[in-house]
Amino acid sequence: MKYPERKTTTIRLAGESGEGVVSSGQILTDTLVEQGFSILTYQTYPAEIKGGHCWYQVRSSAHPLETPGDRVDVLVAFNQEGYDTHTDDLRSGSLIIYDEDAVTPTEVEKVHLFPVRLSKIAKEEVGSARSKNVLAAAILARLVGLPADDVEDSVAAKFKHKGEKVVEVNRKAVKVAYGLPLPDIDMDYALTRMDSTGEIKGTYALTGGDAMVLGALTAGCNFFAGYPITPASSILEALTRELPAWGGRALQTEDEMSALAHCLGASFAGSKSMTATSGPGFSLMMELLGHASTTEVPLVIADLQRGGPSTGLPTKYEQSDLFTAVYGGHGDTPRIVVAPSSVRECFDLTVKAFNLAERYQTPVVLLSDNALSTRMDRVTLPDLTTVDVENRLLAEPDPAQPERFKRYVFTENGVSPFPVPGTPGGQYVCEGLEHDETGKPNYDGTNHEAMNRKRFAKMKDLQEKVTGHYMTGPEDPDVLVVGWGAIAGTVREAVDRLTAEELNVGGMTVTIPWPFPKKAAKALLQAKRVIVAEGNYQGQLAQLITAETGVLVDKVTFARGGLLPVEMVMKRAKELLEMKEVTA
Amino acid sequence: MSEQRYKLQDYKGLRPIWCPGCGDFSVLMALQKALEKRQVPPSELAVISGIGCSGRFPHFMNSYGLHMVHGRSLPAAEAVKLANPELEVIATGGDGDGFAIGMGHFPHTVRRNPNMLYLVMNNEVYGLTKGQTSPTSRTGMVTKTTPWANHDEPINPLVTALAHHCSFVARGVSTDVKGLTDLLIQGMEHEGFAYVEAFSPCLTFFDTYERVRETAKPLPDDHDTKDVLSAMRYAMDPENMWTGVFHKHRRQTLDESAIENTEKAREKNETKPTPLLKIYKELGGKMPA
Repeated sequence: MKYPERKTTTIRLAGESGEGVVSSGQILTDTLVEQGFSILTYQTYPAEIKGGHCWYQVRSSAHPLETPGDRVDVLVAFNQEGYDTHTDDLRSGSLIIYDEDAVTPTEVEKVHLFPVRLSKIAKEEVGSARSKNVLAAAILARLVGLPADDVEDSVAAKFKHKGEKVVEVNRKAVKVAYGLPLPDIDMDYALTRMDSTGEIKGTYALTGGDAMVLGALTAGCNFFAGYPITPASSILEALTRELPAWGGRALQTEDEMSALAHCLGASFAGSKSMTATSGPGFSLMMELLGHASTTEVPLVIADLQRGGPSTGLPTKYEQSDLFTAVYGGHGDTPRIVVAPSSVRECFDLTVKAFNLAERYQTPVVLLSDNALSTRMDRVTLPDLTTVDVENRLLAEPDPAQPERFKRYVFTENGVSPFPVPGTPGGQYVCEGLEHDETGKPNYDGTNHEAMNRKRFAKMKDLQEKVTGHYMTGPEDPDVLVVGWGAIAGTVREAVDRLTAEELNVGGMTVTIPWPFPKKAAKALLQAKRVIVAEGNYQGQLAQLITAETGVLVDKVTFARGGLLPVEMVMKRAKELLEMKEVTA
Repeated sequence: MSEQRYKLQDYKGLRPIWCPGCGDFSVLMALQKALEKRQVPPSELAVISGIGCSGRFPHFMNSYGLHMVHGRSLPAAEAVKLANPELEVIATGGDGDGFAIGMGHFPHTVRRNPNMLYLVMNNEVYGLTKGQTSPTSRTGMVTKTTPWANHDEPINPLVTALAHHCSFVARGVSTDVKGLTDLLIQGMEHEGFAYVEAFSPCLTFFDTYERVRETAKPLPDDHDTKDVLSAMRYAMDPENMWTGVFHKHRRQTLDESAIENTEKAREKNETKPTPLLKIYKELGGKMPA
């Protein structure tokens, strides 16, 4: 049981973008990581380059975490907006640290106030206006219970590359932070750190984006083409930096259609290719996704979801591209959709996406989001020599054979051997028109039905053989809560906390929403009552589940630009436990 | 001279389905003759096409083919070459595929200079969809979608290519198979992106055979192929359909730059590996040689 013994502290820093909100937060996070704590972060960015409100949240604990935290224990308000905007997320006993020179405090019930002249102290006592970031981070580290010396050492190590002078200034900032008089309140934000010889050994503090890149490299990705778009640009930047050393190819293209067309061409030529985009770019890729599905070319298409629809809310959280991923593109176009729900799964499921693309010779949509990709989490990673990497079934054509090679030969599971260009005797046309077994255009009705059956046979094979979900919490729950993507973490935490309250609520994380896995369908059919919690307006997974299984589900939807709160799931689960009948 | 390994017949695929009198038959012949001259092994040839009558090319050739969606043959072809530089990469298409929907890719592919041949069959009309206007249709042309006469100024593909630093620009005509074959050979030999336009009349929807007969003429011998502005002037001549090599130059190809990037990245990693690379190695990951 993880709650209520688990102790966590959630810290949020808020202010004007460019003021050091994010850097203070990152300094604190790095210090916590170095000092042996588990962390999980969440940050927002204004959509514009300069100005606008932003905030950074880090939750810390001695144990692994599933969400960045609903309730904020300590809020640092750098400006008035920072003070005014976040009071709803505080709890009784929260602390607001605010810059006295920039904020006129209003009364907030049951909340402690701690005025600190952050800018003034940085400039006058430390001697550098820039040291405000370290000053703020150090005050927070102090509240969390870290000894001054340890924090000084962490900060010194972090800024070592900037030279002796900078290190000295920052050490001074820490000293000043620890010398400040604290308000006379019961500081209950202190944490116990993780056992440094146990849980933190072999762990890495990584973002979901880093994990995705690592997964791609591990899986053998050797071609990446992409177009800049928030929040996927970092994947493009990382792979244009990394892939060349691997002998791979990576480039920025002129648009998203070009990016996916590049991936398709490279895969046709034998490469393992990937692109990464967000909602608007993903929409642009629909035609080519359909082409790859029909021409049976392996592809990995990462969609890092953001607020939609259309240009939407580029820097806000949402998971509303599920319908697009599953149904997007004209015609009956089979494809696979994979959705990581944690930073570790960003690694595992990226590898899986490549493996499934290779095994089934079909496009795989890797559905992630801006919360996971920017989130920093402390994760264990496997020994890479033990990770299973799959390659497409290669053809061995007979060069002496005079007849055209049957690239699309009918097989039981729909997968045909793939001839890599350059292989004598394997010449064929990778053809978007409906085609016969040799790739020659063919509009005959019987052939079309047979080809549809072939392409969908691959989906059937996956549904039957591959596990695309897992359960958490009690074995035979009265209420089952389903989640996917980052919200599956919300569901898992809700289940943990409900279990600690001795309520019989279980959880299901769906990692392969399409083709909808048979075993998951079975578990849903057997469940007494089902809630589907997700971060979109329509309840997309809920609708998908009803369509695939016939099960009527209770929908908990949240499309307000942030993560669905754990409390919202818990509240609904409790309501359902009370109900005699299920109401839709 | 030893006997050729590959005969003309070895490059032939399925029988073409074009209308009798279509210029594309001759263009296909010219390409196959060029390949025979260069002795490209059919299994090492990749033909990537777009949508349109000329997009059907891959089926009429014995090669690896990729029939892409409308307008997107170039990004795919560029990637085929990046993924497997040993292949002879040829993209084919028409004026609609290349300069309407494909216009968003043409200038960028030209700028990136991948080592490949782009063969465009220009007939100034949409043939496969039966007679609509094309981006290269002249002002005043009456078509199914411009019944009141075309208002637009036509795109000039040769000038567009030259304007985006195309490293090899040439035009031939389907009625001169010998000349076109020679241009295609030069285009394939060229190290970089070779744009070869074949003016290839559509007998069914827009018969321009007379115009070709009357106005096509080879560029003068004294034309300096290094001079881009002079090349543009010839390309923009409203009276004459000049043929031959308009311009060529040699600069780093995309593929060469990719190899250079690999060297640079490996060198940098020796002294300043990225945090991700460090983690990868710590976890036992191996780099390919």
